[in-house]
Amino acid sequence: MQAEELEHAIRQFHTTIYRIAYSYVGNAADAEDICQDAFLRLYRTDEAFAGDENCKAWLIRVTINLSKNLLRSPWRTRHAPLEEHLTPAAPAPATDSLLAALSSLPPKYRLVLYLYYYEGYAAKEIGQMMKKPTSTVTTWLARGRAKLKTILEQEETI
Amino acid sequence: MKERFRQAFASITPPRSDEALYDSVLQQESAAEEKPRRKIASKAILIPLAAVLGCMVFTMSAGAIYEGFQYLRGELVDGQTSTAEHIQSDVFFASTEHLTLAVEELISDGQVTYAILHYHALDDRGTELLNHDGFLPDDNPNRLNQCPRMESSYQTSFAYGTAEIDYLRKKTDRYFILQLELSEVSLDATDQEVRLYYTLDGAITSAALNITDLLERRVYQLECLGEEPEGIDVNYLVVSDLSYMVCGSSELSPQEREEMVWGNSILLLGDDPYYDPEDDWVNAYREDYISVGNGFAGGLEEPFADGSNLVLAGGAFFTGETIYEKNFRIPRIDSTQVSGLIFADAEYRLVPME
Repeated sequence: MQAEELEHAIRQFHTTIYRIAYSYVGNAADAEDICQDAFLRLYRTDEAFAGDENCKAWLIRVTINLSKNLLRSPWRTRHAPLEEHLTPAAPAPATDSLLAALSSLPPKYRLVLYLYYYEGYAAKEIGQMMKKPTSTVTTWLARGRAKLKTILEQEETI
Repeated sequence: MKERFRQAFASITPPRSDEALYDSVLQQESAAEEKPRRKIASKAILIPLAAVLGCMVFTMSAGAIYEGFQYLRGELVDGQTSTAEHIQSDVFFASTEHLTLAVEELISDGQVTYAILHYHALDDRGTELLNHDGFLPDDNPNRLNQCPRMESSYQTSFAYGTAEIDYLRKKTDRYFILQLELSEVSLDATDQEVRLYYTLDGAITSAALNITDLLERRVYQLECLGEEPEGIDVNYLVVSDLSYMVCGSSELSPQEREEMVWGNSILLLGDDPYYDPEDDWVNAYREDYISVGNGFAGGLEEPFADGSNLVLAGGAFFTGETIYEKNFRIPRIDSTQVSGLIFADAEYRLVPME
């Protein structure tokens, strides 16, 4: 890919890719690293994209894979600093109870909720990106929503 | 609710500007390019290497350069190097004056086998044959059989067991993916071959394909976390990246065994890092079940050497994605993800066998 194409892709998709990485790994530092790695791979690829949507879908798949790899990393599993579990998962979650509730969900639920509600992808498209059956995606969406509802209701009661 | 989701996600913003990210990516790429290269091997080493490479190109069959050559590597193993090492290339070749047929790739664990079949037209007549509806119809003869014990009795149709890789189709080339699913006769298979059925001139011909370079099948003992089901001992799991088989033993009558097996399907559990058996909430969210095929389940007329007389479930893995609008599943799986199973409401964890 040419430098100007990379620049265009970053302008178009930087925020989306960062949010996807963030939704999955739950902290800013890792999300930033994954974001950079995803765009570096884009710069290095010989893939010919039919258009922006095609390029975006490719980037999302790469980002999901990089995020999964990070969470699977034995080093991370064994050595993740304690404060990472204590820090809120969003930049300013205290101001938004929904975001705080989202951060308590397993990554896959956060990710499908983001792709479905914010990016507007259909369950089938999300399934293709995550290499999961559509039925699994719809189950995750339903369970993610149900869990969020429970958390928010509990908070309102408190 | 949807608007609240949007607002919540919108508040996640990258700390770096687009420009900073752009500079950083270019800088990283530039640094990678400037890394000192390894010293070039001496001339004395380069010459024999060149000779070897020359021989490789010379002896490589024509099939190796076709587009479908890397198909199993790309679709099946998806970067799992240890599995890719077991994919055999240029397995079989046959031809007439009009057509060639090559088994470009093959992988097997002895129970489940996949092969990529490639027809190539050599001339106009060959092109005509390949594109003639009657030559490779929906019930076309391309298939794999267990060899040699089910020579004539195992049949599979175009809709199951064979699928055309549509996007590779050209006037002069057609590609098929063939699957041999686990069956009763392959449960304790020691065969080193599977049989390929194909046609080049309308008549069905067969050939034996060597499957000696087998993908490893690992054996795990199973530890029950709660109360075990009555009447059946669930003994061990045999698993590879292609297939699984859960073996057990029972003193129940054959009919009772069958009812027990068919009344209680097996769920293979994935390795969900968020699973905590002490946490009811997390437990409720554990649905990383691994998709499996339905090759065989039932009692064995003759027990295995270890005494197991029951296969509780056995089949091929698949990811759940269908391909080519046919009932053919992408088999890709990382079997190291398997962490346990559920049978008859009892949960089992894997324990490596010593």
